[in-house]
Amino acid sequence: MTSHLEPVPGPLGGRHPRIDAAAKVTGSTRYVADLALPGMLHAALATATVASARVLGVDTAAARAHADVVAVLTAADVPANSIGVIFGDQPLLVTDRVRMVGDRFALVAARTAEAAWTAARLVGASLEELPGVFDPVAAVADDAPLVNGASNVFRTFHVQRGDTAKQAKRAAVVVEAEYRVGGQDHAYLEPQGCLAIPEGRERITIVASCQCPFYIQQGVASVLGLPLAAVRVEQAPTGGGFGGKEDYPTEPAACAALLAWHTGHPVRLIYPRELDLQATTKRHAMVVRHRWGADRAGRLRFAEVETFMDAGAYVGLSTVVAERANVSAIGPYHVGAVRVATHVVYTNNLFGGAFRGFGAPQVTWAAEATMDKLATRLGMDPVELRRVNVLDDTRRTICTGQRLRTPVLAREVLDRAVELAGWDGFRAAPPAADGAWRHGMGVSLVLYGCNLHWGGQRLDRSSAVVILQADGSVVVRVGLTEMGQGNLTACQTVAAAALGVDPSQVQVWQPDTTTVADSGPTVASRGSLMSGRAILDAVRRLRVRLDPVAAELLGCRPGEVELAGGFARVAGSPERAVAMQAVAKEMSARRIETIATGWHRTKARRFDPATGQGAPYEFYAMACHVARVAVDPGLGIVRVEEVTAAHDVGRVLHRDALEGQIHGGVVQGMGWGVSEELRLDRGRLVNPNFTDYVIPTSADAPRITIALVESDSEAGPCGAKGIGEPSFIPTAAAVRNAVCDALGVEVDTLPLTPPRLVEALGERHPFAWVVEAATRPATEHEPATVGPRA
Amino acid sequence: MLPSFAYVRPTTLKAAVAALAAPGTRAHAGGTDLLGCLRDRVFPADTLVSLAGLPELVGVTPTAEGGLRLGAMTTVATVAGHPDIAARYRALAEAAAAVASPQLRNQGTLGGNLCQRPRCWYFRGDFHCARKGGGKCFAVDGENRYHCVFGGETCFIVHPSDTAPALVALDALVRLAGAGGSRVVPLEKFFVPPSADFTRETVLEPGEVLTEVVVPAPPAGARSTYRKVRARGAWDFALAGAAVSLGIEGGRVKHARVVLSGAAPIPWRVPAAEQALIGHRLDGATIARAADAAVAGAEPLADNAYKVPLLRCAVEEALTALNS
Repeated sequence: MTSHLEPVPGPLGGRHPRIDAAAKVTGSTRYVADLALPGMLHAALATATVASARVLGVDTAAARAHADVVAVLTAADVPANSIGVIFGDQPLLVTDRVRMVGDRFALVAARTAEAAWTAARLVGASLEELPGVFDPVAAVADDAPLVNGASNVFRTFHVQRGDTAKQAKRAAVVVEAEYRVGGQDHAYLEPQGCLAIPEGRERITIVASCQCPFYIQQGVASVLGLPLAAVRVEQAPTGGGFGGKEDYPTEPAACAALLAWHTGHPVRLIYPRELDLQATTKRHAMVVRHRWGADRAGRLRFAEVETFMDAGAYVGLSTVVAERANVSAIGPYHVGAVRVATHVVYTNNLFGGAFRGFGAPQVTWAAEATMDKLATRLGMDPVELRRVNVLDDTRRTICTGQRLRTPVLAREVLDRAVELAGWDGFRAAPPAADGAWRHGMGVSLVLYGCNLHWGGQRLDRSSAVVILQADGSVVVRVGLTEMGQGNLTACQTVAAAALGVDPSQVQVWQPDTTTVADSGPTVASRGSLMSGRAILDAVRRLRVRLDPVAAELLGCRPGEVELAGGFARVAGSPERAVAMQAVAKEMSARRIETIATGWHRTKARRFDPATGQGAPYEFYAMACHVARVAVDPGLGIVRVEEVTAAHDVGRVLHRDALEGQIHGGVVQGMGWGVSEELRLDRGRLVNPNFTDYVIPTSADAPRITIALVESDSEAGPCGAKGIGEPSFIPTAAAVRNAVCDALGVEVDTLPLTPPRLVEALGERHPFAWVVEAATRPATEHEPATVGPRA
Repeated sequence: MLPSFAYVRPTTLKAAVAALAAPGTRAHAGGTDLLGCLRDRVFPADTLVSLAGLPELVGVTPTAEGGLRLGAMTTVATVAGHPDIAARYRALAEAAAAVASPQLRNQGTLGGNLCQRPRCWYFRGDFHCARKGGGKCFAVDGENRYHCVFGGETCFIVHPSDTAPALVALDALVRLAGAGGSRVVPLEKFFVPPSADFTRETVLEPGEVLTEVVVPAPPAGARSTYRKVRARGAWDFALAGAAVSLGIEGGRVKHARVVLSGAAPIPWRVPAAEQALIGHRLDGATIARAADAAVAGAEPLADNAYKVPLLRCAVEEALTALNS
């Protein structure tokens, strides 16, 4: 046994085994699709395949008559038929209008999943198709068909700082551009799924694959007309979320709950992958218009950004996404004057929702493209241009007028990434073409606001419970979830460090809305930060009772007790120590309360939504990625060879989990930038499968080099900052800039697929002339109608 | 969700052929395409007739004429790793190695790779398109980014196979067994273009099974290769590609086959490109002429004109690789 006199390294920044890794790797974790109860029914959804229609009637007779079907419900069966997470603009089941493909006509419960999904296809909806609108810019036109309400522009968010017209006079070069930055599917391994277990008509339990049990609790309570206390939501082990299990899971949960409520049986709903891809929220497609100018020295004089966000048919979280997009719209740069307008626009496309980065990746992609264009026009190195403008301790006011707390590490992450990637050497002597392959290097920075925006401040609090067991082991409950990102392990690390015990002594259990208070959503890279701070608070409160007991055993004053290495000991005299087990045993014997709750809320801030000025976030994390690519210009193939990722992380909680987040963020960001493309035909996804929706494989993953820029901050627990989103945001932009560097053309649309690169090269493609010479134009084709049109 | 079906596993070819003569049956080889089609309701099947009980359909053996016989149930992985194939029929080895992913190559068979249903997201998706008996081709005025640029006419699918263009370039033959015995068909004639019949992709009749592929002895001075263009490093169908097989004697091309993949509803052989090669030295000028000829007459749709320069580039890269 380790002597208590030997120095014991704390768990912070270490690599102890992740709490959930062994069970997941060996397959013993039970996901919601693995759960079954006696009498359980299977749910299925009857959904629209057209994007815009009037509903004349829904015929459920054939579905009801199908063998093994127990219930078929329509809008008339829903007590309160509204499911929008912030605004009430979305029905759970449609009544008179279809606004997007995937809108629900009816819910089916049957004894087998086969019967349920077969019966769902038998639900007949009588529809009158209406014109739809499928582009956010087109949707703004006066004569565009209205999607949902009196205007297709739901709201516009602004940032106004300084006088851009005046500053424009001082600009030597001006870049104007329009970027089309497309959507993305979350592609989590586990599709949407939940299990609803009714107890009479009094209360109900939901077990769900989700990020936000409290959202589900509110949504189900609202739809069924129950008090919040009668809805218990337990998070099932969750196979990936990335934002796709923030807002959306409330919908399947409400569907399953409604069927459970009507039938009195447990009901499980698991989405087939096609439906999951077709019907769930996506990263917002955006059209971003820029007019930016810099003076001869490269100083950014003004930046004007106008963004059309494709919200789809329902607003969901789009307004909050727009708020984050605005703060990131000009990156971590000092700009003389800024004018940003982001329009949240209804269309009949799939609806946008939360997705890792939350609006920041799209505007970052645009900002970093414009920075490279400015560098080209100024004849400057892209890194040099960024150095001229990047925020640091001496110049730390962002576009909202907020002065950042020091240290401001944007310059440091830029310098570290550039040095590690060998930028200067690459620029001085770029590698020669290797056969057809040409090489390029690109850089991107991000300004990331940690936790929730001012607009979501009311949700920005967090609850924890810490229970010291009689044997000295510790149970921790928090309100924020594990979805693969490492939150359980981060919480375990923080609790172990605070109690001075080995991490193996601490078990953090999945959240359940009956064990902790509403902690808001597990989003915005806030999981470890908010849970960790609440855990520290709980430990502080526990020690009010623990320290006196330990002091008595140690023969010291309570104020002298410190916890380390598995012992309570006297500060300054480590030889006077008593094992935590002994302290726990003594507390138990004396019947002293060994449970403590903890709470954390972020600091209240001022912000003016009319001008976008104020302190939208409490603190910020900076990141810089440098991508090195090889491109075959003839074939349009991009090979991302290396991504160097420098991150301002505060202090490391758990090194493996942190690096895992960066690896995942880089590969997912690369997929969005290079290959993932939602192909919509009048609002209907034609590639709802992983054959045609091309996510990267391990064969595509680049070499990833990580530099962690650590600092002491007052940010999260033990100085940590969030990493989930900053790890994703810069990658696609850095890859874009590297590809443009390799090809010598500017590409203003992602993803950079072979077709797009061939098109972007245009006349510069080695065989551009072939298209004219070899082909007859497409307009000569008659639509190939063979027989009557269906 | 995969619908229910009956499953039989005959142990003689005769019994298999007899079972497949019944309506509602489908042959099950590796199942990597079939089960997905059933699950996605591309077509129905009451009974699957497994070919896994027929060991005579597995294996690679030399023929008396100096070629190779490849049983239809030989896995794609076996074809990709076979030393004789790599040495003498390089295009086939390269094509097999470019198929899908290691798991799918281990499970998928050569016969199945030739008989897989086309790629088209409307055909594969929940759309009642012309090929499935509906009234129209949705790709013509829909999302046609990855559709064909040759031979579309009424249906703009692309043939999904990598091994098929390689085998057509190698002048392969296929044996089809039916109730009345077997027949041998050149692989090139095995595939049915939409212009002939847009409801089928092969000449296989109900109750017929593809049992073997025969590649003849390579021509004198043979060299061949397959160039596949894909967006992802693994598990991705060809955006464009070219299988090329040449016989070079005395420094001049005597025999040439140029077959495009990802280009047309069938492996698209381009005689004009072959003519541009035959009789010439394989130099840069000849390669450029052949590559130009390979894409002449392409008919792109609204969103897939990029395939034309891509195909030209693939042909040039393939021919250049054979020039070293």
